[in-house]
Amino acid sequence: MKLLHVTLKDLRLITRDRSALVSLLLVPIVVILVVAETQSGGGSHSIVFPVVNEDQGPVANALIKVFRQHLDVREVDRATAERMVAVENTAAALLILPAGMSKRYLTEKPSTIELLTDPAQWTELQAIKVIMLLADRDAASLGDPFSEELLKVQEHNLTGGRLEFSSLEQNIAGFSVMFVLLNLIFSVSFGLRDEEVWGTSGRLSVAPVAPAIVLGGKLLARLIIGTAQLLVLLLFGHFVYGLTLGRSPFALCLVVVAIVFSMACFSVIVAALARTREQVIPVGLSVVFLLAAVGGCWWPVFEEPQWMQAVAQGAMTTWSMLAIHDVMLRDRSLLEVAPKLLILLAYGVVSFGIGLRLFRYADSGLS
Amino acid sequence: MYRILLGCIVLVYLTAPAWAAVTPLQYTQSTLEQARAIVDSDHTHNEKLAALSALMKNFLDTDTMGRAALDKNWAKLTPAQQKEFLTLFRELFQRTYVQKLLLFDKPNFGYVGEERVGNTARVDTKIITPRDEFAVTYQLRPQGDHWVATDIQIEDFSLTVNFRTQLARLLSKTSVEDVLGRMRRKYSPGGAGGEDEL
Repeated sequence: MKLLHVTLKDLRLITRDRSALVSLLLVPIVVILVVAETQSGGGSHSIVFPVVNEDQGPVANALIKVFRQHLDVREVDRATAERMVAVENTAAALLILPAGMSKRYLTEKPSTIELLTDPAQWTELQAIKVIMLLADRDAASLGDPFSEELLKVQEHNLTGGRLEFSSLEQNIAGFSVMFVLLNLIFSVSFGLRDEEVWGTSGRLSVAPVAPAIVLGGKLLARLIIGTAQLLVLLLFGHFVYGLTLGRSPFALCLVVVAIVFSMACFSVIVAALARTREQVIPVGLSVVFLLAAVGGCWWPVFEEPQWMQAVAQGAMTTWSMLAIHDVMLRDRSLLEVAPKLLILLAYGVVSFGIGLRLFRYADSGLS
Repeated sequence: MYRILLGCIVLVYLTAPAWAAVTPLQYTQSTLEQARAIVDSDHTHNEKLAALSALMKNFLDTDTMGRAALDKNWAKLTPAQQKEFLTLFRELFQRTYVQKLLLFDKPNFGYVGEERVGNTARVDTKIITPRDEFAVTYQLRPQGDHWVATDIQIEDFSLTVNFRTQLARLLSKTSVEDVLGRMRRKYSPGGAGGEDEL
């Protein structure tokens, strides 16, 4: 009987805390929705595959037809294709079907087709290679009865020194970014809400210091810790799992600072939305999981449906992953990665402005 | 005398081979136009493949090609192996040729001309695509009331010679039974290269 009383009392306490109840369902539902939406995405059909068709013959057309069944094939000129892969990184690889390939194929002479790649887009590249194997099998059944290789693929990296990376090298960066975001959002939100409990907020509100300075100072501390955390995680990946860190340590450090800056500033918005300490966990977890999923920390962005890929352009995690891959996997210099750094910095400044405007202490006001 | 002459004309007419009624070019043209109709049709790839294979069965003399492809190795095969080889080679050659034909989305055939040498004939054709032309030459011999192709040359490249080169290379490295096994796996009914998988 006493057991029942204790149970009933605890149930009443739990039901009083609505935030806790919401968090029981909100976070998993949000994650399930995002995962389900991603799984229902375009799959390999959303992988852009530029093809330079210098052959224009029946064999090239047949190959392109096979590729079109699985990929978003774009027939473009070589300069455009190279720009898509090497500069814009909107495609993981481009294929060059050489002039005269059809005639050589029909007369059973081998041809070399070039696959120019961006190995940093590792998963997309793997999908493309699998589909190329399928096309090769079809081609082999066409005119290669004794399995002599009539189409040889020569692979070149357009964006760095290596031809491929392991999935681990992709995942370490993705999970590191996610955990730093998790740390920033919770530490900033809880830190600000704790000040209400401690009464610090009341004293700060009457201090002769601008709110931007107060928040800025707090964020600077988080920026330092977050930067150190991300760098240590990447170094751990480097020394334990052989994660490549790129050619320029300086560029990597600046990328890390820019990523953490954008995240730390964004965490002020989350702190503003979570108006009580109890709301921090459900709101924070939902935001972190959403940004990590949409921004490519868990899986490649191409696996997402088109609308989600469009949404991803507005997530700082997307730009963080792009910048970190540019430096670490594509060996890009600081100058080359500068546009993405500027986007991350702008993202941080705008987030800070919005957060500053939205944030209010529950009792009295730093605003 | 008049009756004898008339009798001779009737005899010549009756005993003349039926193939004389249709020229090699006409027969090739007729076959290729039927092939084009099949390729242009709305049928599935496998249905087209089956229809083209049926059409080519009467047009391709794969037994002659098979013997030529084995060349001096022909004698190394036992009669049972020879029989099996010719059966598999028919499937191999037909499929190779038909698949090559199916590479062309809407093949447009051009007929250049024919040349007769003794009892055989050579018909020059081309496959015209928007950007290019592919010369295809058929070597023919009469058989009953029609002509059959004993070799096909694409851009002066003989398919029979190519098979001869490949088979000679294979047979220099491996046994006849291995080659037959390889062909069996790919071209016997239910083999890896069965129509369902193409």
